[in-house]
Amino acid sequence: MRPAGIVLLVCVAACSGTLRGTSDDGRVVDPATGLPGLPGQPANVPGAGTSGGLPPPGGAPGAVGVLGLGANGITRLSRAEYRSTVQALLGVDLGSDVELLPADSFTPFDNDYTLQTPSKALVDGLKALADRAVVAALADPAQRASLVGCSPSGPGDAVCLGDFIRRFGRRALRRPLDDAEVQAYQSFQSFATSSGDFYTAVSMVARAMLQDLEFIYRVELGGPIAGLPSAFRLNDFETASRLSFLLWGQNPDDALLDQAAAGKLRSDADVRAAAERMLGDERGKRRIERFHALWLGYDTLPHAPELNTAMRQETDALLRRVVFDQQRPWLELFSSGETWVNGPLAELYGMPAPRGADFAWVPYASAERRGLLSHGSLLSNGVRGTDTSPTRRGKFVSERLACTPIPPPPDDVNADEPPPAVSGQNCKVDRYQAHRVQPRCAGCHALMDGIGFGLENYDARGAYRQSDDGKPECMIDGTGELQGKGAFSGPAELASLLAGSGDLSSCLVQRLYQLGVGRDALPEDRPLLDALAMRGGGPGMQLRELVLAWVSSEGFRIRTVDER
Amino acid sequence: MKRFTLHRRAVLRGLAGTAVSLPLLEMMLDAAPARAAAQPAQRYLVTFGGLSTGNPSLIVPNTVGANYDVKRSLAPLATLNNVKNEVSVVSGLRLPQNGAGGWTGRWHSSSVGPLICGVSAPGSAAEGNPLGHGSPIAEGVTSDQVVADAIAGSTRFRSLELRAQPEVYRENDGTFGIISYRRDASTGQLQPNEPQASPRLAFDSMFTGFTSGGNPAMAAEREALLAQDKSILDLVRDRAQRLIGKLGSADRRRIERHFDEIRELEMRISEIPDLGAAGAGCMPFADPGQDDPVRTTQRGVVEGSIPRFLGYANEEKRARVMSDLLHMAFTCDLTRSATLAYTFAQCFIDTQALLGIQQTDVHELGHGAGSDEDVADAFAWHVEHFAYLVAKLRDTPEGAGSLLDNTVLVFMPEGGDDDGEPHSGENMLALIAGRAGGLRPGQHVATDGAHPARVLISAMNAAGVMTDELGEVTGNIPELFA
Repeated sequence: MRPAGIVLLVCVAACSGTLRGTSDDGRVVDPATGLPGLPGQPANVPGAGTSGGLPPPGGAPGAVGVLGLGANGITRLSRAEYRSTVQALLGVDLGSDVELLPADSFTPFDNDYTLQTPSKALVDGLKALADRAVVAALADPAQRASLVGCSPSGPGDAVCLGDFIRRFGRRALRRPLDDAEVQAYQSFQSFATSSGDFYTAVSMVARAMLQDLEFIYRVELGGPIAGLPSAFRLNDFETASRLSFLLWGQNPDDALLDQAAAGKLRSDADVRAAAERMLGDERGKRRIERFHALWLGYDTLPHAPELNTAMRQETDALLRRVVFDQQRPWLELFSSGETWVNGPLAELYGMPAPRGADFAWVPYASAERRGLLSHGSLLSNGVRGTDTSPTRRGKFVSERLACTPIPPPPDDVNADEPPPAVSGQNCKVDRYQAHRVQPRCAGCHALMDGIGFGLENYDARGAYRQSDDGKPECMIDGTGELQGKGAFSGPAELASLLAGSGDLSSCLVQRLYQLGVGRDALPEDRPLLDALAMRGGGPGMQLRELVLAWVSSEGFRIRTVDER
Repeated sequence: MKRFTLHRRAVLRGLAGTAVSLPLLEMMLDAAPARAAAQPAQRYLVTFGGLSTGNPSLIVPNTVGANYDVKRSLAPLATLNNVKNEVSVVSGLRLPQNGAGGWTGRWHSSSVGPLICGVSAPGSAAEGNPLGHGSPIAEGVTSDQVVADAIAGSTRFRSLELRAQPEVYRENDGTFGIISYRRDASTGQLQPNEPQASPRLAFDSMFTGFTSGGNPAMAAEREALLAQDKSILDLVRDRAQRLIGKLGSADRRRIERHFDEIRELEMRISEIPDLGAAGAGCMPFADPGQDDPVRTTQRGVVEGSIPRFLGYANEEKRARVMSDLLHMAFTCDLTRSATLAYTFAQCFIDTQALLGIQQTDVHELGHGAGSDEDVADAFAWHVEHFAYLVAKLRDTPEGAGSLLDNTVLVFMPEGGDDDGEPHSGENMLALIAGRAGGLRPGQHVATDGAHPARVLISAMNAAGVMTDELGEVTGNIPELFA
């Protein structure tokens, strides 16, 4: 895997002289590895990977699970995870009420534990949501019956309440409760008897569990590992949670909990089988869709609602086809010769409209369009108002898609303002001359504008155009350069250069890792990422296989703690 | 000569968060106990607006001193029975480049940290700045927390953090809506205090359990629910305590605040004070109902403008409700230190919904998507809410005077103006209102590049916190006092 550091050094020489890059959310990047973090900072993360797999028992302490998760910290459920989990537990869709929880930060994922802090607002929100969700769940008699699972003989029915506590508790707290814990919840029975309503106690049990720290946080205590003082082996239920939050973005279902209870999540083979089921499930497919949408910035789109929906369907369809239906190498997402479009999308792209059915696979007529980079969803990124910005497009491709950070502008530059109009010249390419001409701008902008200008024939919705919007006299040249790799024109050629360089595959691995561990990848994670890429199949990797190889590795069932 | 009161329990907080007691002065011994008994509580509020001051000719009064002229951006001060008599305008403030409490780049919302805590924002080239430039995260304790430590006493809420704008709407993240940071007593960790942005939850939190009439059946039902909640929280807290005991130190550090907040919530539910004892004006007001939904629009019609998403969630009503809540919280002595962010830094509120002008966002207005007058009107929107609260406090009797006599409030906009460029550290401005601690409001004080945090130091002094510093910034603004 070619490190991103090489590109960064070229840029550093020409740029303002700062030795820092930024990952795409503006964080500092270590030039040596291309990963977020501060160079020279001692790797104070115990158990960071070195080489190979786990050491034999009694082996060198500190060298743990290269193909694993790396150090992580206790993580709170994001709004989306909370909502999906409550839906699964209670059959209630909280909808926009989840906004009563403090907002997540998107980095581009929503589960970064380094940005989470508890607060009064969080606790108040959790209480309000628990109250609302439980009231809603118990309001409908049929829903209530299915939730409780037994018909109480009266308000004092301790057996039915006890059964509910154990059953719901295992689901909500993601592990079986011991007798003492069940007893504690059982004390709510007195509220049922004094109110004359059995379901008062049910409501209290459910509300208490939804506010429990073991519900809202993913707790991983594990057990000690002989010879490795800094690492812990997850127990079966913790493994189940790790799997379900990565593969589904929500709590484990009963089947997975049963497997945990039966000790069926302890071997690589068993975990792989469980993960295969989960990826084959609709929840797994939607998770992969969401992973790409958050990663590549199209989870929200700025156009008319029908167009937004159609673009999302187009991209999701290609993802499902390549990743799940055909199980082709992930890179083929970028070289696909046809796309899933309806009439309006086809018209946008200048393709023949599908016959009959709403959506259909239609082959690209133009050789310039291939795969994901030709989709409106991706081409919608890097706009300024209603028109494209070659700089922003290039930044998007470089940082988001290829995990190659661009250093920030010098401190005194106001990058909010568009490049000034040069007198007499009004075409975009002329206005952007300023970036090329000024020495302190040229280096970094060559990296960005070079890419963006190669995509300029595609407007802010992804439609082809010959000239600048509203300026027929400004013909677009449409050629660009991916620095260090070559010239190109249009999305197909750009995709080919990116794919060939290995940057796309290595970025996939890095982003997937980021999703799983709940923080940016750090320099000390590099060996783990390399091992993951190799184990996943190298540049020709299939995403399913990459994910399965990772989650079924022994290291994935081991925890090291982020002590930062 | 400024006059300020010394409270017996006033302490200074060093940067490390350790308490440093004041020397025991004569002032504190003899007269103080009697005076302290008669001395009503002081109240402290910092408000924030995520926009820049705009064209100086539309905001900075020509007159220096009393009876200043009110320009377009400050127009609401001339209303409400001339509430400007209670408000001082402080102009000519500056965030230095590379100085104490400064910033190294003029990059978007990295002004926020130095504004509210007086500690420099790390620039893009600075060591130890994992978020690079542009982060609004404060690097020190904010003034409201310093004040809370000193004067919170046994109030129900040690401090209150509120925000009117509920969501960020476009890019950036939640940190752009946080203006209060504290230092954890046991770990020394600097932590953000996420504000409550739901009027519904803020109302419930403040008035849970208070009964003010209503029929006995409703009261009984409320009692029963409270008893349930108490029992639930008791169990949750007990379990949390056991869990935290099993966690390693790193995990514990990350979540023990959650335990603290649960415990505080439980205490609040257990001890419902008698509202009537707090004074004539103290009463829960009309339930604000459910929160207005967040509406995002996906359009940016103005030529050259950036917006992808504009948002509006009836911030007009939300700001009003939050202001009413703060007024009642102060009246009932539920808290003595609070912050209210009207809007997020780099505010992306839909200007058509907010102001009835062309549809862009407030941030873009400052970048040329609107006229100077439009920017002034967006500024005035914030001032209107500030003025509303000032007037309400003025019109609330307390002791021999009004609640405003014992309150100090500040309005801090995010940025200044540099020859038409927003997000500047030049030509910053702040408003300070109230008569606590010898403040003499109703003046225009034109400083010559004073750091904005000096307005906060002045406000802290007015609230009875004897300190000459906030972060790296020192000195109050003497002209603000009698």
